[in-house]
Amino acid sequence: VLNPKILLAMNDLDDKYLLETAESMGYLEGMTMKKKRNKTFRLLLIAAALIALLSISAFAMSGWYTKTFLLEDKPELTSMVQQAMDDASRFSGTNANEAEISPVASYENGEYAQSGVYRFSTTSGSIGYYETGEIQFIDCRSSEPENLTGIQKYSDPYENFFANDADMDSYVEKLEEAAPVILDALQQDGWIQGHSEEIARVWVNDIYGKDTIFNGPTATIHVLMVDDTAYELWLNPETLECEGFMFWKAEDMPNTRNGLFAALKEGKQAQWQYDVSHNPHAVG
Amino acid sequence: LEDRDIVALYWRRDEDAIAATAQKYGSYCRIIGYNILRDEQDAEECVNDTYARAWDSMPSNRPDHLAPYLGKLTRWIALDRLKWQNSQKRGGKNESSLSLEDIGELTLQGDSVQNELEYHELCMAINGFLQNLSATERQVFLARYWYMANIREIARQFHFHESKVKSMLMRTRSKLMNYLKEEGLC
Repeated sequence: VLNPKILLAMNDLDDKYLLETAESMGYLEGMTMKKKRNKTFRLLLIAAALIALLSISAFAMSGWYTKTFLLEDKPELTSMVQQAMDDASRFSGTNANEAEISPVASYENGEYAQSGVYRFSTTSGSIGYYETGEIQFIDCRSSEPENLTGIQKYSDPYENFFANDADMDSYVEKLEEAAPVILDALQQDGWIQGHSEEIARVWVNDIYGKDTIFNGPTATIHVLMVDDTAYELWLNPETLECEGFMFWKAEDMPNTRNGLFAALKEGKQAQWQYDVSHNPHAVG
Repeated sequence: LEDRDIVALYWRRDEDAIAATAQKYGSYCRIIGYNILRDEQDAEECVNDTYARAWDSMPSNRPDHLAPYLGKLTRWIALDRLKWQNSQKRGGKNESSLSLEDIGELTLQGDSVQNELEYHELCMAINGFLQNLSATERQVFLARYWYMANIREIARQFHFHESKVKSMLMRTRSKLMNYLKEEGLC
């Protein structure tokens, strides 16, 4: 809470601070630029939409993401996915031919787009295939894998997690302590290599409830390092147990999810958990 | 027109000064009024009052930069109007001023600033405090508490997530409180 007396006393602040803020917010001459930029942005958006439309049409006509295409014309892919499944105990006995294949959407500012990742969902879990031909994530745990889509992950927000802004603020502070510990653990386990020591900022991207790709509430936490690499950690919002993570390439962040996309081997998440006992203000 | 030319029009009591002000800074003042009052019509009336106040105050004032000069007038007028609106609602704050929700109850009672000395001391102290902030921290803080922009708008402009903006604001508020306590002003 900012004291009203202070709010009023701020009225006569130094002009230079008001000007720089107005500029940064686009309130002054920046407004003209902003309008131009918006116009340009709209044109770019229209162009992108047209390209996307053409791509999607070609995409749909090619039957790229259909099961038929994958199974009949891409036996090597089916084989690769089957191999990945065979390597993960969770998928023991699972037949890749029985998987439902769906494109995983990326999500930003309320928009969904193709991410280049395809999810093979089975009753045992799901497995991800990246357009470049690599298996990029495996063994996403779920109680209801048959319902999985990239979009569904973002549904069912976990509401009322923060009673007020102060809760959110203290939670972010806690995450700032937890993130390096989790990243160290991920590094020690060989999932990531040589992450930057210094975190630039941490924020809560989303907290959503049940029926996600994980068995329960999940918080997606974005960790931006000073070297402009970034991670998305998927945590249990209550215990800060790390359930998965994603790495963004610097040139892609923060708007794409086309970086190395990884989830966890079963049983490993406890090792990546931030030990809340180290923090007297820990959640729970 | 350059600011000095517009100011010269005011000093000559030339009514073109109002038109020039409206053309150059109308949007800017409207944003400030709207951010505080969250009502287009109220904001527009605020802007018109700003022009009138500018007309009355020049001469004798000769501001170097019209934007902050007009912005301060608009902010005062809008806060004053908000105070009046609040007083019309028994015990309630202005329901339309959603942007002010998370800065608490802005009651703006008459005794909020009891004397000029206290006001100027506070203002000088806050100026000193702002000087020691990083440019980003300062701009986010002022965007929220001077321009009364909402969190979402600030997040968009600075390419931050909203939680980051909230976190940054909380820390800056906390720093400010500590600073003012050290200065014996709070």
